[in-house]
Amino acid sequence: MRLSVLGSIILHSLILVFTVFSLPIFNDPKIDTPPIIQIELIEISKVTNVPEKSVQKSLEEKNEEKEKKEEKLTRPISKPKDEKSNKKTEEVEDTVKKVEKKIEKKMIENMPIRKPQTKKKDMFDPLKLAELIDKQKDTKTKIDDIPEKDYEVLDSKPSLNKRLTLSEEDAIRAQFMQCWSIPLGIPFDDTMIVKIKILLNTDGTLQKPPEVIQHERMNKPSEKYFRTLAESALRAVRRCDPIKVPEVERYESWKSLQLNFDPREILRG
Amino acid sequence: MKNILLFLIFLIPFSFNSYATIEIDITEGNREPLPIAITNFFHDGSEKITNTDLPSKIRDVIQNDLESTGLFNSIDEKAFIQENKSLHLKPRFADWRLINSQGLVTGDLKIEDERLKVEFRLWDTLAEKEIEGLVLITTPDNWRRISHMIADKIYERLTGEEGYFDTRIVYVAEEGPKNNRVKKLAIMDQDGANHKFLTSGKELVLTPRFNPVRQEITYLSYFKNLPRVYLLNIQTGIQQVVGDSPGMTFAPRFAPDGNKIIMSLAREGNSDIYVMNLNSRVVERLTDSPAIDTSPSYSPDGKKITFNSDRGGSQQIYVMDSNGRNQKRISKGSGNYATPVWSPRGDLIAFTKNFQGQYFIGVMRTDGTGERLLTENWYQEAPSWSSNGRVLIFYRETKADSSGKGHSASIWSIDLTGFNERKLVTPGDASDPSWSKLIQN
Amino acid sequence: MNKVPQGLTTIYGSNVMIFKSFLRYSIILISALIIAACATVPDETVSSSSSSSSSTSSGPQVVDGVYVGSETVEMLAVDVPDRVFFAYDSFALNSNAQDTLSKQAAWLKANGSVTIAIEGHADERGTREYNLALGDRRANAAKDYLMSQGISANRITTISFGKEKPVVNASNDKAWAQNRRSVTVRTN
Repeated sequence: MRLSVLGSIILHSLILVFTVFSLPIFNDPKIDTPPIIQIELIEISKVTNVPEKSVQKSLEEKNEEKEKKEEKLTRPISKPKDEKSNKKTEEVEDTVKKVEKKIEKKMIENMPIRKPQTKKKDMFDPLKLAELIDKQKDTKTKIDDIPEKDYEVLDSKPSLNKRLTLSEEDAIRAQFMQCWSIPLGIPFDDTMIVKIKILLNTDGTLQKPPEVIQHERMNKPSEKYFRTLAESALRAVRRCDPIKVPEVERYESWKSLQLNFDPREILRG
Repeated sequence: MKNILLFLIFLIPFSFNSYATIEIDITEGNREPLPIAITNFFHDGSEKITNTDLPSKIRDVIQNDLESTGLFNSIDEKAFIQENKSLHLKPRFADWRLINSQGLVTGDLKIEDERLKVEFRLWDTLAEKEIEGLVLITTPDNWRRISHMIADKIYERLTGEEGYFDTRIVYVAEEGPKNNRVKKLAIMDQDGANHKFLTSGKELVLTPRFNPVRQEITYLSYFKNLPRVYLLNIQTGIQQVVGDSPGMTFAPRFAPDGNKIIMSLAREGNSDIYVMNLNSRVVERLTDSPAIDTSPSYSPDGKKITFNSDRGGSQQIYVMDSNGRNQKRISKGSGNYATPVWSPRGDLIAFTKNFQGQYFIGVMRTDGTGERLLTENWYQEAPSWSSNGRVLIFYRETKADSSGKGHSASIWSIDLTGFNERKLVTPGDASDPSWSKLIQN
Repeated sequence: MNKVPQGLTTIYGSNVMIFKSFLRYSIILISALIIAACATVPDETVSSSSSSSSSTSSGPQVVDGVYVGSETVEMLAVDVPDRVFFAYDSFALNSNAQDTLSKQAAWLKANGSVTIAIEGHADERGTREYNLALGDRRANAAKDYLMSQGISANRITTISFGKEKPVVNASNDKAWAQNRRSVTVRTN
């Protein structure tokens, strides 16, 4: 009885440790970049499934390594346990796997997202490659040839497809650009950006009224220009409601958006 | 108990999920003027209102003010869906959104005890709420000022800037051939209404400027062939000479407190800058150089003065302390600079520049950096700021042909950003415009 | 040739691109400098090439920016012209002007009771207030010269009209030269 409690405590603390360590601040955000290689822009129709698998593979490999480590740890302890605790440790193992999945996903999501403005030459970035692959997805090429085993693996491993593609982002951005009447009277100021958070329903309608993230600036008498700018941005968001959204299947990736209305280049004149 | 623990542990990683928010930068929008619907204010049918067609007139003034800024587009009445009667109860926001209006202006007019009472409301049609409202009471024939005040409120609420519509412009009205020009002082509302001549044209008059705190103008008059600085009381029309000077005084401007006049005094071929205190009549000399020093203008806090001097060999812009110390050149570019005027915001100085035969109106920072030219023409000069430091008016002349015909002068306005250049409507030719502050009383 | 997609290239490739742009821009810069060197000369230094469509006399009407004709000149007395002319933005008296003023001085000496006013004028270019000051300078330049010829100051008053009273309404070099003047007027 005591042994199982001890085992339970150790496992719980291990999970907590893994959880803590997987927080972004402890992670090296950079993925090891392979040496720079020249790549041809591939016609979408010519794409095969191979690249996708190879990228997935590197991540899978990482996961497998981690899992192996996990198993090594769990194995010696799980042996002497009775059935009840075995079940629990299995559950724990499952949770460990799930945690791993989430951790990996978070790692990917916390990768610095390349802003479209930077027209500088980018270093080779596996995510960009992922986006190229995503283009393939956009044209609805079927991924039939993936063998059963890999398919399962795809499902449980963090998928790179859970972010918006550049074109999807552009499509959303274009809508707000249309809807936004920029108040041209505002003087140029480096702090003039309005950040608005929106939550969408699956049909692209707003779930609730849009929020200005910097709401403390909205009522200060010295921030009249900010309020004017923020109100114009809020009007833009309402005007654009409902927005045309990507497919419902990926609702999780686009349901929560932060819109940064940044007129500084225009106001700079 | 253990299940609860497990459950809690499950929660920790899942809580990271809500951070999956995509950020999208929006750095462009449409640069169209903001579409806004201005309705005829509702009234209870009283004769005085219907006879004078007041709702329509008020609407026209507000619409004209807002559109003149280049920042607003007033939607044509014919496109309105919701009728005034139901609008009076509550706006059907969807109707207004349908015609693309982002703002809606409604109001109520009433005659109470011979006074006109105006209640106006500004609505955000997208947020579906009222964002500004005001009640104004005045005599019925003062409806123009109320309209301007309403336009100022709307402008301020939607741009963040103080409005400038309840203001006036004084200028020199001109007529006749160049070698026999008749010039009169004239005053009008900033939209051209209520135009009035202030002098008869018998004497040559030039460069009028408003007192910022009183209904008073200072200007140059050649009364009895003696060019001197004068004061004119707008309400009484009485003119009086400022000071008792041995030589020509000219280029007068008020100090921000309205109690001093700064000007040039020409003595034996040399023009220097002097300040006269209107109360004590004490005169203080500020510059003492053999060069031409003229066109002085105070900063809004009264601590500094910018002026025009050719002490360096050509016309340039200088700045000095209000006691005449620390005289420093600030204009940096090639060409001649003249007529400096300090912005009411304190951060810019507008000027006239002459370069390679062309004339420019521009602005620069008070240290001379950041020079920006707003408009170019064969001949133009003498910018004057709107009360909120957002718009400049100046005058322009056209070139006469070899027989002397084709010459004309007119007043123009331009936004600080260089856009929305417009010609002001005056009964005849016009020059030397000066813009008043908001009419306070 | 390999199509190099946006954002993906070799380091070597980017060097070539940078060099090419550098070359392009320096060529543009150099050509711009060459063209700028041939900048046009401003109006002020217009000399004898001004139009003289309606002149009665032959030869150039404006020399070194100063009107040398006689169209607008009136006489105070026989062979005593009433005005002198100036170059752009200047109040210097050239030899013609000094001649004229000497004649005026002689006439004033011969008519000791005459008092005069000297009006200083500027052409229509240049800002209004500055031109008022310039007109004052020109009037006083003439007055100073007369005084140097022995005429007492209390016989002479000066007034500046800036650019407000041109004699010629056209907008060309000759008209402007004719308008840049100091005119002596009898006041009694």
